[in-house]
Order: sequence, then structure tokens, then C-alpha cells
Amino acid sequence: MSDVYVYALLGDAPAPDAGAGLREEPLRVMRVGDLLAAVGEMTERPAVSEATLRAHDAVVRRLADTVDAILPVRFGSLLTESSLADLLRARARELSEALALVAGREQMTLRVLGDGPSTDVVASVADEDAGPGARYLAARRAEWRRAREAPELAPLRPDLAQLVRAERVTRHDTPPLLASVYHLIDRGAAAAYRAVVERAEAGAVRVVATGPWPPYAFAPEALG
Amino acid sequence: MKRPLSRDDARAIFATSDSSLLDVIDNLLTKGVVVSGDVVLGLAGVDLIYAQLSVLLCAADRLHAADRLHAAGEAAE
Repeated sequence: MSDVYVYALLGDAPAPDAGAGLREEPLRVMRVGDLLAAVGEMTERPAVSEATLRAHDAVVRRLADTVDAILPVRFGSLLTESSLADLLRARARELSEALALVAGREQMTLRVLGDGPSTDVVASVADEDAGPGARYLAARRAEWRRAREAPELAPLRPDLAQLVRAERVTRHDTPPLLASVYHLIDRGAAAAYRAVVERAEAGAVRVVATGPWPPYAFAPEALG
Repeated sequence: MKRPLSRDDARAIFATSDSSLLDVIDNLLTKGVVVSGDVVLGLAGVDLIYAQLSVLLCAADRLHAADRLHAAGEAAE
């Protein structure tokens, strides 16, 4: 039995003219409960190259254009139909919630550039009275929080608030790239979003927006 | 040895049309890319891409390990 290569999970069936997969294989939709997966039949995993990455992305974009809600699946997910069905069934609730979040929305990516970590990033507040265990946990908590925050964006927050529906942050803190911030916005709001970013004078840091993209950063690790 | 990226280099990367390649990698990398071949990507001032690729390759190692476990589980069934 041949395996299926998974491109995305969908909230509704794609248009029949959504085209072929990255190897020109026909795309088809597999239904598991309420979930739909856009797949193509393949016998082996495609090698990673610029061409195959772009081809995978192109398929996801084409699908995104024909449906309201899409959760892109990472490159290289090749598995049997039965293991895909098992995975989708096991995580049905989480995936349905994620689909509801991205419905009618798309992703903008903000890269925060600067010469060093933000000075707003404060070290965790040490509580002198706490024991070593509590201090350790507080430090770990602060570290966890910090890894998901982008204080550099504070000047943009008031204007972004009305556009941004959800946010994911990945900190790099390797100048010039300090952080990547992924924002979920309503489809069609990209121009307004770019205007906010271009208007912002973020001081010592610079922010660059790209997009709109399919909501890659908002898809759970469905098949990991 | 590669020189570190300057902010101007970074701006140049983001200002070119090739920045879409960075985004494609970043987007597919967010989920961890499964590597089954060599990766060759050309881009001016490419350190940033390589930095991301090293993360990508680490992610791929993890995923391959998961794959092997998965395959072993299936074989045992």
C-alpha cells in the first residue's frame, strides 16, 4: 500500500481545481471524523531542497486560497493512511480548535532586528526570602515567559491590538535577529498591518514584516 | 571563517525577493523539517539561513528518531 504525503488539514473541502501535489501527483482529501486532510500518494519522502520546499509551500498556498481554514503540515510528513487516521483521531479536539482559530485568517511574520537583546528584558526578580528551589522555579518560569515575549514591540502594541487575533513568539537573541513574531490577522488586513509596522518608530530596534502567509506558526505539531 | 552578519546585511536579506525563501524555510521549519537529502541553499550574506538550517537539521534528527520508534512500534504489532 502506498503512503500519503500530507500537505495540510482543512476546515472544508478544497475547490476541485486546487491542482496537483509537489510531485504533480493528484491531490485528494481524506476525511477522519470532522477533520479533512489534503494528501497526495507517494512512495518516498521528497528530498529537502529549495525547489521541494517551495513546491510544498505552493501547494499549501493554493489550498489556502480555496478554503476558509487551513493548518499547514510540515514538510516531509509521509505516513500510512491508517497512522494518519489514528493521529487525527487522537488529536481531533485540539486540531478542531486550531482550525477554528485560523478560520478566515492568515499569518504575518515580524522579524525584530537589533544589535543586542532588548534592554527591556529584565532579569527575573530575585525574591530574597524564597528558598533555592523556589528561586530556581521562579527563574525557570521567567525564562519560559521571556522566550515567548517580544518587549521590543511595545511601541507597536496599541495599533497592532486591533488587528492581531493571536501571537506566537520565537526569540533568537542572535543579533541582528532578535526575535520572530508570528501574528494571526483577518484575511485582507495585511495592508493595514503593514501600515502600522511601517509607521512605527521602534527606536533602537527595527521590525520587518512579511506576509501574508498561510498560518504555519499556528498549526499544532499534528503529525510529529 | 564567515564574518558575522551586520544589520545592513540582514536588511539586505530582508529587502530582497529572496527573503521569501527565508520565510519558506522558517515556515516549514516551525514544524521541523524532515531531511532525507542534502540541503543546498544559495543566498547573499547567508549566515542567517545557515543558522536556521542548523536548527532544521537538529529538528530532523529528532524526527528521524521518532520515525524509527514509530516504525519499530508498527513492526512489533
